[in-house]
Amino acid sequence: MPGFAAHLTTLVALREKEAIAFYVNWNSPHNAYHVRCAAVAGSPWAPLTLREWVPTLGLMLPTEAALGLGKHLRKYPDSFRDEDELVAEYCQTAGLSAVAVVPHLLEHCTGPSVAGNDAHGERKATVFAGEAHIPGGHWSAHPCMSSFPSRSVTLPYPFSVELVASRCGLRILRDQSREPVEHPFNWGWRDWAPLIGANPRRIAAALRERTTAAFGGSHAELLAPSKEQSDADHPLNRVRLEVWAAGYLLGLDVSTTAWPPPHGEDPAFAASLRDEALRTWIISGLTQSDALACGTGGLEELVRLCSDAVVCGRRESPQRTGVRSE
Amino acid sequence: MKSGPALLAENLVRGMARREASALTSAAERLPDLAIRNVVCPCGSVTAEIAEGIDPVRTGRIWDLGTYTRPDALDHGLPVLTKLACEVLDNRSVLPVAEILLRYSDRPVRLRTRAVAMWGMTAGPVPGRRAEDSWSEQTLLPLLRRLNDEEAWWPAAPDPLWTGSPHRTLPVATRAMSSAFDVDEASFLGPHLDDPVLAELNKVYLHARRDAVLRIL
Repeated sequence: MPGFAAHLTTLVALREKEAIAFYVNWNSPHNAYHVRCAAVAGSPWAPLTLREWVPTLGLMLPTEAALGLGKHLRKYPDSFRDEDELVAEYCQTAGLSAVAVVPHLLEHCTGPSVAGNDAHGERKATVFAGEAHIPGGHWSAHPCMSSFPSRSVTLPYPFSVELVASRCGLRILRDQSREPVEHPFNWGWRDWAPLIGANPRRIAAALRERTTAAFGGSHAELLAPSKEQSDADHPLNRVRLEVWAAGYLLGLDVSTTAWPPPHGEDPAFAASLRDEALRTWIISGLTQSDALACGTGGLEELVRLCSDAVVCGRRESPQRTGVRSE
Repeated sequence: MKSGPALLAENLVRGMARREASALTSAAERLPDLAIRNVVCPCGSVTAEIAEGIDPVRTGRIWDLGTYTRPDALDHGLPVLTKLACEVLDNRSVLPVAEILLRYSDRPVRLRTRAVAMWGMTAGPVPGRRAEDSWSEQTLLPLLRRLNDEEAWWPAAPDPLWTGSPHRTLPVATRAMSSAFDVDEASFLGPHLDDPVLAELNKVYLHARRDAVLRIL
């Protein structure tokens, strides 16, 4: 990417005491979501949770910490593959916080994994800068936070919103629970979105309103071209609701989180980062068959839909209710 | 103030709700990757045989949960869940299946949803109720008691209980497959609660489940 070395110099000057990740995998359980929150909030920094592994594709550490990490890793055999978990372990022990840059400065290559991670599927960045020109002052446009900003919702635990296998759900990181961080048993949004102040019926109603407004009273949609099939029952329209719910909950979450307001940001650049964060969410979050059925045009329609959902969710007032949807 | 069968029915339903809350909030230190073979029954045509898993109508593989699930895993070795065609379960709702796999990896796991169990129980005559009658707490009580028994394997599941019968009921609410714009409420007995007494009990259930989950979380 253009200006890579110059960016590193700037980043070190801004955050000389922290671990800085240049890449976060697009479907890591919590940290990818942190990156998406940062992208939506307009923050160039995404504080990472150390309850999850620290992404190590590109990681910069203060000299002392790097030496300390080396010493820490020597306790483990070379055959131990999940070194990223050991980095998280070290950071916790050393009191070192970790942040990711938004956009990322690195992209994962495709092809066989040299570390034996092929079973993880395709590995891509959450928000890669690519060839985009990162505006001057981007990195300093937002105060440096070392931990995820506080949320004003009832749920007392960290959580992320995820889109996996064409389904939206909540991933809750309970303190006392010893659940593996990457477990697949998320909490479906229809029942449990109220935990984070959202009303599932309002979410669905908002999609209906958007669709009605866009298509003049008809619920026909771009993703349901078949006339033989009821538009509302078209399987891809169920995907639309899941994508909409994910974007809505992300927007609501950002609006109820104490992200400091950015200053001096380039609106077009910020919008491009947000859209890329949503695009990778959708690409990594659809089942293969849904992705194929969508095609490129359908995918971009889903990105626009998700973007609108984020805006809709950000406008919403969180409800301090229980779990019922009424 | 409720009393008699109404109170008993509510208490049973609250117990089922607490059981689901316990299932949803359970957390094993390690969780197996999970795939489930799904036996789908068309709604309205569930017979007692289907409910017992004897005559599966349509099977397919669902829930490849976990990064490492091998695509070539043999379906016949997978846990089997019998559900109605219109039923949808959240990922979290199949957590008990994963727990069973951890406990009894050497045994075949066969489960059915409450809706399937209910269809099985009501496929024949129900004492004190004609097919066209609405439900009453009185006529529901024996069914609720039986459902409670069938899902009492959770959470303790001592060995004799599990091995006593090949079929267990998954102690979770499900919902109807909704259309593109609708969010149907979860139902403790599955999607077909077109009955005022059942609908009222469902409210009790969801309220109790919410409270129990929030208390545990």
